[in-house]
Amino acid sequence: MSSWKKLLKEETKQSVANVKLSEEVRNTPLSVREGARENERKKKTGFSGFFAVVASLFKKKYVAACLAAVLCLCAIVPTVIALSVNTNEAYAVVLEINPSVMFITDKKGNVTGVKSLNADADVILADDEVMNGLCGKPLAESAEAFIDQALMLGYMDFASCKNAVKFSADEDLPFIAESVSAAEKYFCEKGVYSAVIKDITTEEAFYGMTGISAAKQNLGEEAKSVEALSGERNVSDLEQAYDSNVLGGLYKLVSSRIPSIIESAGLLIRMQLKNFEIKACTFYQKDYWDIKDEDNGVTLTRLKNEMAELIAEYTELTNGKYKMRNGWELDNACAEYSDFFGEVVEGTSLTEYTKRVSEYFSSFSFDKFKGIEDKVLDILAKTDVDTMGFETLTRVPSSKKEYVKDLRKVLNELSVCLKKDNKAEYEAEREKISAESYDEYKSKIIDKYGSFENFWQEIKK
Amino acid sequence: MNHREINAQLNRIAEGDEEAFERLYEATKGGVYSFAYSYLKNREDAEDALQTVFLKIRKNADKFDKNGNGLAWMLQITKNVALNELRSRKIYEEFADLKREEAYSIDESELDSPVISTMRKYLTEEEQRIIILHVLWGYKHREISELLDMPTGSVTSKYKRAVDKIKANYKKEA
Repeated sequence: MSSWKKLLKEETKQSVANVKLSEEVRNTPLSVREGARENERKKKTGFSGFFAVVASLFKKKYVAACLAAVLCLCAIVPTVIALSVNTNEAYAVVLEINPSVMFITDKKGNVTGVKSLNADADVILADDEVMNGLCGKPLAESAEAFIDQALMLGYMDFASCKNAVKFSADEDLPFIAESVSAAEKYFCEKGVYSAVIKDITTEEAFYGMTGISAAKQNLGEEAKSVEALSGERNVSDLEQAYDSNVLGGLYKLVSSRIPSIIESAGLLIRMQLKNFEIKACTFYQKDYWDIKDEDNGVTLTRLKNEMAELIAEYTELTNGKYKMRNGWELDNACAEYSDFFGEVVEGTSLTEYTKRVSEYFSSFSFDKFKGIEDKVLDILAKTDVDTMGFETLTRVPSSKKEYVKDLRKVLNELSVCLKKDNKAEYEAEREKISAESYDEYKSKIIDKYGSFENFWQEIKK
Repeated sequence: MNHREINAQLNRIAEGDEEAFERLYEATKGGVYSFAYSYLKNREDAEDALQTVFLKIRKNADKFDKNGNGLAWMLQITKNVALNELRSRKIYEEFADLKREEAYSIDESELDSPVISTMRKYLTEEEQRIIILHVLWGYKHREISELLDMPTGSVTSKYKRAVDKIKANYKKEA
């Protein structure tokens, strides 16, 4: 072992030589495996253990029978009560994170409908399963589920404490306070610092926010007739709606995949260069696929193995779509890139080509994207995005029905990609936040900003 | 202590063996401390993190998979503890308008440790972590790339750069 490594090990040992385990750690009981615990119990209880097990089984059956009877009663009684009460009243509560969504609830706070209020909420609610899962539940549960989706898609910053969600309504209903509490508990469980704000505003201001101005008696009915996604509503100009929402969504999707597009370009050029190397080593310029199954000398075998690794990496990058089974597949894939970035010819270096691709995307604006959507989709297909059926997305739809279909298609794929991108962050283990730490966090917000509303205004700037 | 021995100790701890816990602590505290320090850059916080890591091992020993990778499990706990501490620090800084620079004082106990001083002075955080994982923990580059969520090629090139910097400077620090 080299001297510096040996020295590092010794120094490390010395640096903690006097660091002992604290009493708190020593006194914490060791949590042992079930088998070890069971062995302990068996050693101590013996025969009495046998009777204890029988008794517990008996108790369970007795308890099960009682539960069944209670459940039957619970099923019958509410039905009787419901038949005697008739209300059409509905309430609206807005939840803003960015994304922003409106929940329609009944008098008891059970969600009967959900409407998206902006393009980001459209991405979440484009998934029918998610949207349907939000209905039929108490507001607190639905709000938590929606917030969870927002976290999954990366709409909140796990690493920051400058997060906030806001519940707004024109009436201080008890189930709003419950939802605020539930949301705070959710964030503490997840280990995410976020303020939860309650805002009771005027009827006028509130219905201006939501775009629905019905009296409570008719709110439920009116809200039912309004489309769920903001991109589906008020589509008076199809071309404009297509431009903003379908092409806009497609642009967001492409932007999220720029690193993969660059990596894909890099892998394609590496495969091409490797293939050139192989051709140079063989008689009659045979390529990788010509000699793949042959017995070759040391150099060619090494080159073949390197090519096989590149192909495997590319297959993984494209989610199994492109397996490069022959030279044509490679040439066709490269041809689609050459439209943008120039041809790959012998003598081009990997660094040079990757630089060209990166430079192209360093200023990839929406205006640059418009007009070349077809070509961009060809190279988007060389990433993990499922572009099946995307051909219709590059032309203005002829009807609202077609537009809605295209809109949902692109938003669904965007949702899948955003969830993939944020999966590691979302699933990372975070320490739960204690009630005391959370209270301290809220106090610090008030100390610094004066109010939660000021904090909200500041972070939404 | 090698990977197999760590696994064996963790399995014994999960069976309730207190002596195995003490053995594991003595054998691995240096590596855990160094790894935590690479995130926290502060002796007191790194020592606290060390205590928290072993507290978590005591509380979660039953959850360790018998056939799992004990070393990876311990280092993942260490990383999570360090990152949680960094997040708490961020709140303090963001709301108190205070940078805890005064806490990042030179650790005088490391003045007699030329290699460690060299690492703190010349290596980036990532380079320090790679050196710690490879030299102190015996991790291969591929394993390091999985733990740090980095391509294997990056790990290899950063390791080489880090070694060059250490070799060029540690004798000066001595």
